Amino acid sequence: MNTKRCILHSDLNNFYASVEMLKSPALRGVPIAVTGSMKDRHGVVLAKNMLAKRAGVQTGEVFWQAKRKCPDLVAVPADFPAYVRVSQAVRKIYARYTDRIEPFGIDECWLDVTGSRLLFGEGPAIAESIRETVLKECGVTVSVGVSWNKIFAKLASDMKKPNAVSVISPENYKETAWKLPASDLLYVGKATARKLSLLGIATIGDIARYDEGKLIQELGKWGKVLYEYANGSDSSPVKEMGETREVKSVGNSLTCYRDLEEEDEIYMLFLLLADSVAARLLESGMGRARTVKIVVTDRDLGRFGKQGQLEGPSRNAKEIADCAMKLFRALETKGKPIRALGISVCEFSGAEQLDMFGRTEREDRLERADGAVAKIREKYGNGAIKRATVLKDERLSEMDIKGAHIIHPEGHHD
Amino acid sequence: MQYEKVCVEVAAKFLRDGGMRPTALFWDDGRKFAVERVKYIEPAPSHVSSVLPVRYTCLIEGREKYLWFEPEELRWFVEVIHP
Repeated sequence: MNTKRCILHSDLNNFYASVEMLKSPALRGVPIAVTGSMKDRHGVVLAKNMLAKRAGVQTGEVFWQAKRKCPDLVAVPADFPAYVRVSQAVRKIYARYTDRIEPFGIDECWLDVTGSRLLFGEGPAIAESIRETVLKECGVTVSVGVSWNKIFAKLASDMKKPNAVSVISPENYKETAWKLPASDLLYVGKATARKLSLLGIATIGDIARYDEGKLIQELGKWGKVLYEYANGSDSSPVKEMGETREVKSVGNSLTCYRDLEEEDEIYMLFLLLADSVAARLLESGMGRARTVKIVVTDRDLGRFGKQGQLEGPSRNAKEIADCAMKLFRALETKGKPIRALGISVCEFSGAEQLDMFGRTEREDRLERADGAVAKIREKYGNGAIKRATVLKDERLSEMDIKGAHIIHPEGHHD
Repeated sequence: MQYEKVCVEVAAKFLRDGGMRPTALFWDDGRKFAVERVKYIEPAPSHVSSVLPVRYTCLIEGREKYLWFEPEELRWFVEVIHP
């Protein structure tokens, strides 16, 4: 038996759209876009099916823009509870084969089946069996990539879609993985791809054959990581199901159902997000955060980020939102309408200190208030108690960020 | 072929050690069909609108018929085929 690890990466094809087609079989054969709210025709395309993709519809555009490219496009409002239900059912199928399952977002998982081969056969056979079972039981398709490391497994799952199994093996990786563009590699974004192309690197093979030292010189420690990725020597393990990572940051982001222009609207959304971040921070038991980061996406899908320090370590929603707003004002968005906002906090103070004297009475009161709000929400739902500020826009205030937004892919490399 | 989702009233038995078996289904026009035997119970998609239903392969009047249960809605349905 092969002594190398056997890693699968399973990717649910056009996941949101596929679930919508289960809900309405009539949508098969029609280009569809899963959108945020469609009132005011301002819904943003969150996902699409193959037909819409072929017509050039892109995730992140506003529905009416997409509709110009694809006049028959049908908008379907997102139904996150249904997506979660299907995602969980599929993960239960994975769990029949291995207990080493690491989700990456709602629709992707890595599976380490190294120890399952005596029971279920080699990697490609397991992948084939998973593909069949998911379709037979859940009615959705997966593309499964098989390899000896997580990076190549993920590349493989992208090679053939939908409903397929692809293998990147030590025998064929030079003909398969190495031929793919460098930007296909996990975490090679636009900026890195640009830097690489300046070095004359176009494909993953180019990275692999490049001088490692020079790559590190050009890209810092990231260069070493990419070199390892490209050579198939990534050895990061697939986390066991339920294994918690060391939390390094807690964040939430939200694409708004309409573009925001006024500062007080933006502040309102920051408050909503900060509420959720503060609650998750409290749950995580990581203490208080020192740093706040914001990510702002404007109407043209340009992304800007900025980070800054809180006045003191805090997990108070209002202080986080105020800091986010300060960062936002310092950001050059040139008054463009804002499509999406994100807040994350990091640099935690660590588990609670027992020092009773170092904190002001005000901090205590704020935190007690936050704690009371958290309890009310736990008992009666996240919508049970709201900030008065956010009531200015009823629809915004109805968004249940903490409850609905369960989808935050974490970094693979941390 | 067109499939129509028709929700039906079902009588079911809950087993002491867990599990549920349909025993009869009632058509809207008053007809009643006894479920003679449940052959298979398995998660399986249908042709009609339903997310993650459970398919019961039943013997009804000597013929194999599919009866679906939707756990989320606590509801039974059959597919009516219009050729």
